[in-house]
Amino acid sequence: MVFSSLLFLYLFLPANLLLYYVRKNARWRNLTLVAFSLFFYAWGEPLWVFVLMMGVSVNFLCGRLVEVSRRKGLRSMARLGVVISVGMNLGLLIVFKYTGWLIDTLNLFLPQAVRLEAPPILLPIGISFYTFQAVSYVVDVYRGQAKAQESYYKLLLYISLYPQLVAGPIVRYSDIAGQIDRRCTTAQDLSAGLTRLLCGLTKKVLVANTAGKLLTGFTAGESVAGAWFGMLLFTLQIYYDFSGYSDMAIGLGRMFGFTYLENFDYPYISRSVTEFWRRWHISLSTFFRDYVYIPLGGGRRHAWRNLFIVWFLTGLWHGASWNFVVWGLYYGVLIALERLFGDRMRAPRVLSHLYLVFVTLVGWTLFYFTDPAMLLHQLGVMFGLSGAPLWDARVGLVVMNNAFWLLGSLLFCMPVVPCLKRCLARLPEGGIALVRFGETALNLGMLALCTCLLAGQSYNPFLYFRF
Amino acid sequence: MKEERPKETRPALVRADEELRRSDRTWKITAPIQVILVVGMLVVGGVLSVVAKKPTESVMEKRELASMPEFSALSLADGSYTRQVENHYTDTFPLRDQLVRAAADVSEHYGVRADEGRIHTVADAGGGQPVAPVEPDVSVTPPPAADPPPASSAPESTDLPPDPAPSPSSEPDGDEQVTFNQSNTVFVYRGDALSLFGTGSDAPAEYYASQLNQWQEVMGPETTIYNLVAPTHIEFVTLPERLESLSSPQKPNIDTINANLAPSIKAVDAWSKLNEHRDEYLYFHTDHHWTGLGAYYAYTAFCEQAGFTPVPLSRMEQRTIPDYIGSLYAQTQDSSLLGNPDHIDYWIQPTAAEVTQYRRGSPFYGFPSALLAESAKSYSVFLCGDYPLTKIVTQAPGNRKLAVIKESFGNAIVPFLVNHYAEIYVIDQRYFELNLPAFLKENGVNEILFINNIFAANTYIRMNELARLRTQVWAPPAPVEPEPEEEPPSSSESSASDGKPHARKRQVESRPERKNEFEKEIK
Repeated sequence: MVFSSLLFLYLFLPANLLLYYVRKNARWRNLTLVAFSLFFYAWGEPLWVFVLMMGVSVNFLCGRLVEVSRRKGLRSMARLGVVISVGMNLGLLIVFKYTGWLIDTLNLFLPQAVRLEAPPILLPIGISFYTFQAVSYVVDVYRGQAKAQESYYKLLLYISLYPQLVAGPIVRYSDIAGQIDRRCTTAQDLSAGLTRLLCGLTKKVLVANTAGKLLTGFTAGESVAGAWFGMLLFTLQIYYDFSGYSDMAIGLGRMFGFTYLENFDYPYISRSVTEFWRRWHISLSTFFRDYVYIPLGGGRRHAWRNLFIVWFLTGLWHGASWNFVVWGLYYGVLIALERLFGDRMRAPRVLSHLYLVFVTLVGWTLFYFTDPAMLLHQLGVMFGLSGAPLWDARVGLVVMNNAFWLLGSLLFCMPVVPCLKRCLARLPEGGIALVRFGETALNLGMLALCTCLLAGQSYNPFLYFRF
Repeated sequence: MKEERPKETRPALVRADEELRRSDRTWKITAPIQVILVVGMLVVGGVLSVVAKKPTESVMEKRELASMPEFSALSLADGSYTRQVENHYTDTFPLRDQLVRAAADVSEHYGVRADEGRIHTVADAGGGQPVAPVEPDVSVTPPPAADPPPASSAPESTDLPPDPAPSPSSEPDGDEQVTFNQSNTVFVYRGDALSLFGTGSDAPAEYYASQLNQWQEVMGPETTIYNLVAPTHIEFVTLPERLESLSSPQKPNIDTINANLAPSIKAVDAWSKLNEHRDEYLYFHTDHHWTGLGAYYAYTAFCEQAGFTPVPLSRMEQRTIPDYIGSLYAQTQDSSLLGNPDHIDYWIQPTAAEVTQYRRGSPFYGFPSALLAESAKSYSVFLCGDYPLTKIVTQAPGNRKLAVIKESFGNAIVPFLVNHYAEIYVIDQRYFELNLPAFLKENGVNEILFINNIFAANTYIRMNELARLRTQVWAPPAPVEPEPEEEPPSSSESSASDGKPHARKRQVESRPERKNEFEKEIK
């Protein structure tokens, strides 16, 4: 199931809310969430839900093993627990996500006669996210940052909780462990969660889906302007899609008393690639930092090697295709360059923003085209090497036809909302109450708008389902 | 528990939220009001969506809505059950038609109409979509003033043909392989919906010509082959200069095709005839087809090549279907098109003709039909829509026999041809299920007219159908299918039955080029 669907909004969610809040008992509430989460997952993956549950069992046992061994001082046993758990999680990921890619890559080096055929494995939704969460659980227990969970269903709740299950954010066990047993939800939380959910929904339905639809007309490389405009649309689509999804996850989490960390912090206003990755998909970059980069030795030992590994893996995580690896390494190289020369070069503000926008557009081009020939063609057009005309009339028409939408989408890439909120905070008390009523009206409006658009959109794929 | 996480760089939104929360003392009162109103709207919508009566078809989209699937363990396991339930739920959501219309209105306000024009990205603007077959009226020439019988006044949604009327949006073959051919862009300009044409290379045109050349090879020199590539609306619309580059000129593409044809194949120059009359009503404003008049001029061009004198329009009786809103409105939902509705002119031919049509899955058993479905309110009036095979026996003098291999553009031209041929076999290249060379030899047909609109002639799926017709072999439907309502397996693919894996697979299997397989035809 996806959040941006009528079925989720009008049946699943209200049913979940009513059943959840009908009793105060914490166990009832947790079990309700587990049941709804499993149903949510099984709706899209009726078989793989059992892989999920089995994976959680193994991680549960490993967590216990690590905890008990730690307490008794058996370091190697604890290590074994971590190895089993990490091995199984990565194994699942490799089998389900990378088999086809590995075989295709291997085939490049094999003679025609012995080439292998890739088995038709379909990627279970969300596997890239929930395996990482499971890794964070066992490792956090091993590091002593959290106590092992004593109850299977609570661990199942942590891993399968539907707000974050299928497209993140990657929630760390240590961040959330306490909330599994004790969380208080006030009307304010519920209210703020609803607002956040509807904002995310609007970002997804109004902006990302529209950008995705417009984008399809600009990927054939008919003109230089068209190629850049197409990539601008993709830049908007991927940000609004993914950050909208994170907003919905955070909002839903909050409605049930979970506080997730922010996953995006206006990445496109960054002034360097390093800053961009502090603001883009924060839960992923910190995961790689804390569970790969630092354990490998961080910046102290083999810094360059570590950087290469992390960015290779970051790229590969986004999809089983070489263009994602290239995309990851592209950012790795830029970050290395910034580290080497960044201190000495203080560019003016305008230039550093332009630099980041340029780098991001080229980056998303690498990301968008999984087919190398099409990628090279697109890059050739963008940089004027293909002889394509500079301009075609369609660009101008589409810009005009969607001028307000485009301006709004660009505007909300900047931190307008936080600025507005800080201004509103300075209003007198009665004023703020009025603002809250305005918020309610806005929410009802956004819900109505999204309902219309969802009814009108048969085109409704979530980009991040691929990962 | 998260001591080591650096705190100094908390996201802007978190800080702002905190600030607002601190200064808001009334939130305790306003929050529950918001919760009640928003959750209330969800609950009310949810309850209505469950208790409201579920429609089964959409008048607006001219299609059947997804129905509630039957439960089975298998469909649950492979995920199709939940997917269909969700499709059903979304399709039958309360007030869906109004919501969809509202969504289109919203998106019309995303910006301004530049130069009175608006670009739409659609699933398929190029003519891959079939024209819904309709129930024919068997009486060919009813009295002119007769009202259409009430029973057939809703022709589009008939359950008669084996393929349900497809929805434009679920029609996947438009954008599957058409990378260089912008058949997914429609430009609405001053009340006219224009499919934009664009090709980056000559390769598709050359491929199309090679397909026809292979037909000539297979049929041998005693068969005369005609090629008619129909230009589309935008070719004859005068756009302001800065918009001219929106769509590639179609004439050079047609010339490329003709230049690559074997010398024995006769190219029909419909373009020039249409161009002579470019200010007349040759194309619909709201539909991707040409009008009966446009088809008539193409017919005169064909007569020149085939050696006939065209019958003047004045010798035919003209009738009109008013207020027609066509396929490109359905795809774009552009409200400006509603202000410019079409009318459909058609002509009763002076030569009598007996028409038999064959449904999909039933290539040997036809039913009596008509050249023109006068009860239809759409382009389906011509030949009653797209049937795999239409057999026409006429009282025209002489003994010439013609096969017309066409997509839907061909439908409008065929009625004029009854004045010249004793027998006409109209083959829809998308749906015909028999081995065609064998079929033609058997019926003694030695003239073939290929009609494709320029989008089809540049779309590999359409072209590969021409190859498939040469090699495919009829396989009767298996009698012991587990689902009795399933349509019999057919080797053509482009209807709403798409996505059924077996249909797709069969098509792939039959594609290999085995050239001479006539003998294997099964009776």
